[in-house]
Amino acid sequence: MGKLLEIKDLRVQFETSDGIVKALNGIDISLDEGMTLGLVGETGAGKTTLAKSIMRIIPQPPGKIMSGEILYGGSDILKMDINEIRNIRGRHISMIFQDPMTSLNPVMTVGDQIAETIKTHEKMSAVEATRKSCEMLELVGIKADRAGDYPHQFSGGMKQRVVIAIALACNPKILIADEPTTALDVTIQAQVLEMMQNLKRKFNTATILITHDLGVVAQTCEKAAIIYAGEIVEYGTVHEIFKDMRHPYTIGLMNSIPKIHMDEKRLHPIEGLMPDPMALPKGCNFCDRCRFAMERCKTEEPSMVEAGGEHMVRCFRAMENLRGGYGDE
Amino acid sequence: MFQSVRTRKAEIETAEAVNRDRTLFEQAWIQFKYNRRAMLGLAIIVVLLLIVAGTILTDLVTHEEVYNNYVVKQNLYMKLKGPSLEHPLGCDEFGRDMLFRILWGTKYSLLLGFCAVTLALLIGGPLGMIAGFYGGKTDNVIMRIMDVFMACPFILLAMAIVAALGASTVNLLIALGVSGMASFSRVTRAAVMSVKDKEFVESARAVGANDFVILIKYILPNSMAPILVQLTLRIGSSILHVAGLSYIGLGVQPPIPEWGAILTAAKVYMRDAWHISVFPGLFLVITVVAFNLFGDGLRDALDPKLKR
Repeated sequence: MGKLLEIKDLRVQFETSDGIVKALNGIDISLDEGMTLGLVGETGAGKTTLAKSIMRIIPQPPGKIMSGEILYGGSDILKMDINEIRNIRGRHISMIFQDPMTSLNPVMTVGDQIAETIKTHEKMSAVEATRKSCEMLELVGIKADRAGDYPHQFSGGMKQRVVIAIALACNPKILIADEPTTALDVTIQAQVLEMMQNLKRKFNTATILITHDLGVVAQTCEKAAIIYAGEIVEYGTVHEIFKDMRHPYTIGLMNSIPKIHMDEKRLHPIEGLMPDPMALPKGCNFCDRCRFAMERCKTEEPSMVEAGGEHMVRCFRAMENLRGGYGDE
Repeated sequence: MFQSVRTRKAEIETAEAVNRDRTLFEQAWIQFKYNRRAMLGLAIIVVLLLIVAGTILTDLVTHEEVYNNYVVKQNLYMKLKGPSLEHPLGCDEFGRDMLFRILWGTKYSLLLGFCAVTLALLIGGPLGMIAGFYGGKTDNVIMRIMDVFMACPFILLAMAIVAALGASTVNLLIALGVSGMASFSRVTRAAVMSVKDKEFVESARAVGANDFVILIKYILPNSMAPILVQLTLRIGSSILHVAGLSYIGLGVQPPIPEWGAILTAAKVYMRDAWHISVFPGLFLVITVVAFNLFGDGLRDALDPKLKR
């Protein structure tokens, strides 16, 4: 399997009047064909910024891509001119946004919105594009005769299906799903995820799935990356991450999920908050909240350490069995 | 009781009539049909347009005979005569029949008012759209120029333009259009700015739409409501501005029977002859109200979110 997308040392800042917000601090990640990568992290960790950087739809200014490369099929997205990138968007890389309620144009029928995308990228007559858009609707489980309806006539789950239909209309190689199920209830969430999985298999689309939900990652992804304060702190296959988590942050995340077989009175959150991205600590970004922090963590930035297979961890103590330490308390 | 039943029925019919296969404008029309106040406004506007068409046609058929004999020909015997069977709305200070003058004046008032506003929208709208959409330096340059226009009193600016170009109806239009564009560009800019950061614009960008498509298909239709309302509200004041400029001799030239011109001329005789100021004023009020009702109805009908 060839590498479809490769991100190297991506750094993104937002220059605001209050100071410089360091949103992404050296992201290295790659995506193979047909693979699903889960991107997990808490609010503000930089997940959406990463997704938008790949599409290059970060508002500039205040956003600024400081350094790095995003290689798609060997060419750097960050160096493309506006016409090239427009051709990539939608046709090669598509994105699904968080909130289906607001990501559809309220004054256009859903059929037109799908057809619009198709017409942007393929030389097709209006009739053909309409037919294709009806096919797409059927594909995501909406009857084609609803193509003439406006977004407000659909429920949230159906809107998200429409959004997915738009994203997949030109059969892209990569689909970036930015919390596609956060705004939906659990049953619809399961339906939408299953549908995405099926479509992904059908079209062999590589997917980057951004989510807060570790359950979703375990269920749908092959690889996972845990992102914290603009850095990837742990990366590996889903199996490696869930069975053999090594970064204290990942361990904390897992611990904060209540276990159904244990009678737990209280939840176990990770104490503290993420550091202010305008003033990141000198050493490890997580050290203020870490139970295992040493003196070294406060002054030195850890780099990624291999932990067998594809497993990478950004921690000085990655090789110790930190999980045991948590269990004691 | 009966009325409420009928309204209910109308509602059901509306819901059924908003069919899936209709275009946006057909749907808007169905929605509009059941809005009584809007229909009243539309009816008045239609009547006014019929009057305009009627007078133009009469002038064409009779080679302006009616116009010359009844609208502009003075008859001092009838000076300031009150309403009678022969002259239902009385006569003005030169003994001309008020009804004829008002009917013939409709053309000038309505079309001048409408064209001036449309011109202002056509200049100001795109500028505001570009300023709101691109922001930053573009926004600053355009809006500072607009500020200059806004800083000058409306009438003074229009006067200066007419004075520079010469007094004629076309120049009056240009003057009103240019001096009215600033407010349109402000309204459009604000509307565009409130829409451009919405997620659907971002998602349009994410599927590769270019700026032009985003502006025309995504942003403009979603920011139409305040612009439409502004348009219909401005038609009324625009008619008044035409009148104001006519008064100081820079607008419609006498003896053309423009409503505002009649009204301003009538001011002097208000104590002796109420009818020459009341009737054109009444027509003006009815016209402005009709446009406002129509505009409100249009806004509601064009908003797909209000549809069932």
